[in-house]
Amino acid sequence: MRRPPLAAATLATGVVALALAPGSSSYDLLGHTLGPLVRDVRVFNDFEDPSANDNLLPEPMFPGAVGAPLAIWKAAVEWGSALHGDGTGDPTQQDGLGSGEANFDFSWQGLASGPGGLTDNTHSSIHADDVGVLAFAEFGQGGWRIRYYENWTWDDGPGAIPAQHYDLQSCAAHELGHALGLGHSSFLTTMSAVQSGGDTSKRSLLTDDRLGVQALYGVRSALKPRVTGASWNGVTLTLTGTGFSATNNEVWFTRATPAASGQIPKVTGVPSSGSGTLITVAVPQDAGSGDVLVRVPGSSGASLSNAWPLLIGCQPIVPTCPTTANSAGPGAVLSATTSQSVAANDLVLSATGVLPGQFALAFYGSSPASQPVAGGTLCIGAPLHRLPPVQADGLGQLVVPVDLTAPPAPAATIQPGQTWHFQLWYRDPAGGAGSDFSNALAIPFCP
Amino acid sequence: MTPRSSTRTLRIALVALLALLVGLPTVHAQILRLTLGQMVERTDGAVIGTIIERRVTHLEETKDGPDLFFTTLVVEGEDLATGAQTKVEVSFPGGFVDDETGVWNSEAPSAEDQRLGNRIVAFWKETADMGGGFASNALYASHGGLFRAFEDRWGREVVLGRGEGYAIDHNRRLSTLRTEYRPLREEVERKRKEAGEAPR
Repeated sequence: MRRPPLAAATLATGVVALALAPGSSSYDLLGHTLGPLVRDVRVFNDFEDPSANDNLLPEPMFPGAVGAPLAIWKAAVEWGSALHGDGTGDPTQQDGLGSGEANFDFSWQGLASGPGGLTDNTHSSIHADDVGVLAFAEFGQGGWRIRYYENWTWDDGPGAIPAQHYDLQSCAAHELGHALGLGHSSFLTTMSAVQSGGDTSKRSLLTDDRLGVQALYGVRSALKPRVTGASWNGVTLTLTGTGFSATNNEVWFTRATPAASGQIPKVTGVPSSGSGTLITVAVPQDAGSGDVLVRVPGSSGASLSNAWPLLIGCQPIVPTCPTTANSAGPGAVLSATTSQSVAANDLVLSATGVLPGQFALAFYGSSPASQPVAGGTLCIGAPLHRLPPVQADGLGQLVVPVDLTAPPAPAATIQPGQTWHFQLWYRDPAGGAGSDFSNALAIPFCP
Repeated sequence: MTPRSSTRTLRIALVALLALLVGLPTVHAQILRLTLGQMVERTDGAVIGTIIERRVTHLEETKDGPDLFFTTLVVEGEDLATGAQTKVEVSFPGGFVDDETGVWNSEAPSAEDQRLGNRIVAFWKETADMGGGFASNALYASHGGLFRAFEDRWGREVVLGRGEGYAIDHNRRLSTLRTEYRPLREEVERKRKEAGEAPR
């Protein structure tokens, strides 16, 4: 059989290619969309590379998540209809996180207890030999699953990453694009590029990605409900926004504990006030820190609001600077036992590695610092608030109960929602400087 | 326009469309960026041949979770380096056992590319575990390891490139590809022999 002449085919191709001038769209639609009830995202955090889970800095707009789940959550909200909270959380995206501007938002559901089935909407790693693929999305009947090959070195960022590492957030953004219905783009966008090592540029949607999600779900409707604020007083959640229904709203939360798939924690039949601008609702028992969304009656994507960050409980305690060696060993290590609740008033600081029998002072302040002082580093900025002195026992251990109702000064009063930094100064007569500092802790406080 | 000429025009248009879809230099995927040399280093062989069989394996419960699917293509043709007759099985994640049972995989070759009877170049790597303990010759880089081949009007076979970042980035004659591929393969095999690895 005579085959079609390739030269003619190539010429024709060139003509068509010229017609696709820069500025046109090149997204590819896979033929499926996700209904509002199947936009949940969860992570089975079985990533083995230390670099996949070494970002331990809490992000205010991503409460309760660090490491790989945080990176994947950021990737999910980038597809969202509006800025996620104030849009911060990714130093590489100056235009903020939440760039889709379509009638589409993922619902962050936190951790999963396993890799899940084909429709459990779960991210996880897969242990295989090198097959030349970084990750893939699978789409079954009404859901998806995303797998990352464990033979590559994954990195959770948040900033630049080494050239031999692969950016989890970029890869997740790409695969989530597949999950919501986009194929590979022929432009250099989130949905198009080969992911080279060290490349973080694919975290952020470009115009072609935005046009693609809008082609699937429609440009963000003026009628789509929008959450613009959330505050929780320990019992009741107050949501502000626009477009809430007068009656029968649903308020969706993030699940507090890992589940294989599971239902989205939600409260149904919720009225609004203020002409659809205010919702007050009790937070259900199975809800945790994460995102909150409002769904108004209807079945379209426009019936589900944007995702808004919601802190339930407290951000984790974070070590902010290391200890320094003293004359007796590697140095004093400060830790804290607390519910972080101001109302519970149960903060207890304790330390090990102090010089036996020596006096020590715990102190705190509202800002971090890093200043060499005496034999160590002062890690807290002025003003410093001192707690009563204590003496280490014969093993170099000490305990400092902190009474939040009796601050050393009015300016040292600890309020819910604040983060305070704590450190220990102690005598070290045999040390060259006569004293040393422990590590420091940043402790967020809650109602 | 005669029926014959209209058929010919239609063929040209179809091939043009196919070339547009797979051959423009801006098509990318979530796979490794590879040159031909890197592809040869990472693989155990390549075949130019015809897809004569396709089957899908469903693993219901595995160490990597439930429901893993792998498609296997049987390619009959010639070893790209030696020209020797060969029949190679290459596999990639994804596929459907039947209309209801299976999964679409984002990095798999398109349905059009894996059709029975297609002439393809496939790069493969013997792999003990492609996930879930499934052992096969992996179609390396999934769709990025499969390239369609067509005859031009003079009967010369041309392999369609997939664009920047793929091992075969632009269209080239099969004879040219062989000329490029053979020394790369020989070099890799020489290094493997020096390292004491078994010949493949």
